[in-house]
Amino acid sequence: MAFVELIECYLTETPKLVQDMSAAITTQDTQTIWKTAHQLKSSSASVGAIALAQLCKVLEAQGCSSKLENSLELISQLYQEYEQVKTALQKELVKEVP
Amino acid sequence: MKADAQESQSLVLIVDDEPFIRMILRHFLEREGYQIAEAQNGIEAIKVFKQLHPDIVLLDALMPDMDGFECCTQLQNFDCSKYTPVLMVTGLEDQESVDRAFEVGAMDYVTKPVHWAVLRQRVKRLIQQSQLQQKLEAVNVELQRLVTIDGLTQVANRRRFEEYFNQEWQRMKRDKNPLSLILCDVDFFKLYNDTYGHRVGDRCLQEIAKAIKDIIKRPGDLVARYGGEEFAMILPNTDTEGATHVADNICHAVRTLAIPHKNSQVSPYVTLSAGFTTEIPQPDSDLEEMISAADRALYQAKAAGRDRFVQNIQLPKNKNSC
Repeated sequence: MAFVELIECYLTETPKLVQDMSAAITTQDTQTIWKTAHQLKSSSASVGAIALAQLCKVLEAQGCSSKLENSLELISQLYQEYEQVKTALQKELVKEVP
Repeated sequence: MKADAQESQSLVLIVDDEPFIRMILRHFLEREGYQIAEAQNGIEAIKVFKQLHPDIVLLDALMPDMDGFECCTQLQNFDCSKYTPVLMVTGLEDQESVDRAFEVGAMDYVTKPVHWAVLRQRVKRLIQQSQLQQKLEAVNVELQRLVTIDGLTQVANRRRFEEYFNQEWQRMKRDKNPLSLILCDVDFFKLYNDTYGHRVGDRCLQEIAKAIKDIIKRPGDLVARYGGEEFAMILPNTDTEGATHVADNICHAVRTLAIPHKNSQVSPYVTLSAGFTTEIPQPDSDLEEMISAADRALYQAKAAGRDRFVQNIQLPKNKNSC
């Protein structure tokens, strides 16, 4: 059941990170954008959410260099991407737990 | 293939602020047979480290409160961390971060997302390496001890005597301070062995060595077994008066042991003859000559009836003689 626990952990942690990111973009808090994107990048890549990890990488780089570009568009993409990942993972979970 | 029995007892400390990463690392490493401890940031990692002494630390770089770099730097300050490898597991891929990690003492570096097959080998190798290094250092300490100690009497051996005498000679020459050397020899020891046997002879030497060691207590002094039944004492920063005192004490201590020696021609007990010399090494004086001088004094003590000590009186050197 470890796989289930891992996915559940990811699905619990990630919405918080997405929320933090959204708030940080609103306040132009580049430090928080950088760190949150960095966290989300590695966990997303670990569950195979490559597109989401890519988005995070862009945000991480922008946050790190304090040069935000298209950040509102990026965050909306992030939301959409996460929704897709969530749906896909939940499907997997259903397979695991009959 | 699972880790073998020894590795499976190894404790891995996982330090990461993300619960997901901690969970996935724990899951993977537990499957490999490791024990797991967790910490959420650098400060907690140090606390757990001090308590549990893990065999390896898997350390994230970016964490709130105290990051991985700072944590790694602080870990290096602990004595118990000397052999504990730190493996950085981070999403930072830039050269600066990698360089910095190794600078602060990390042994290895892997990036996230983790390549599990690689991590598995790295963790295994790092633990093996640190265990091997610990063993090597322990063996080296023991070897170092063995090459400088006389096995029978547990005082310094001849090799250590030569090395230390040379070193202290040079030091006293630089500091212009007196160096004293006492050579002593157990009286009629061959007869003692012939009378009581070699095993008893060995025990006699052990007792004498211990008695001498109990007298020579300053950390800079050295007691060595110089030959079969000869002992030597190197006394840095010791003048004639001090050396006389020590030589007297040694002869007295051996007398007081009262080890029976029925065939000795000077006493019913085992006794010692000692010769010593004191000098402030000069730029033109010779280290070998100092040993010869102590030896001559020892010979005089023997000739004068044994069970005594004699100081070598330095003959004034005639520089034009050769």
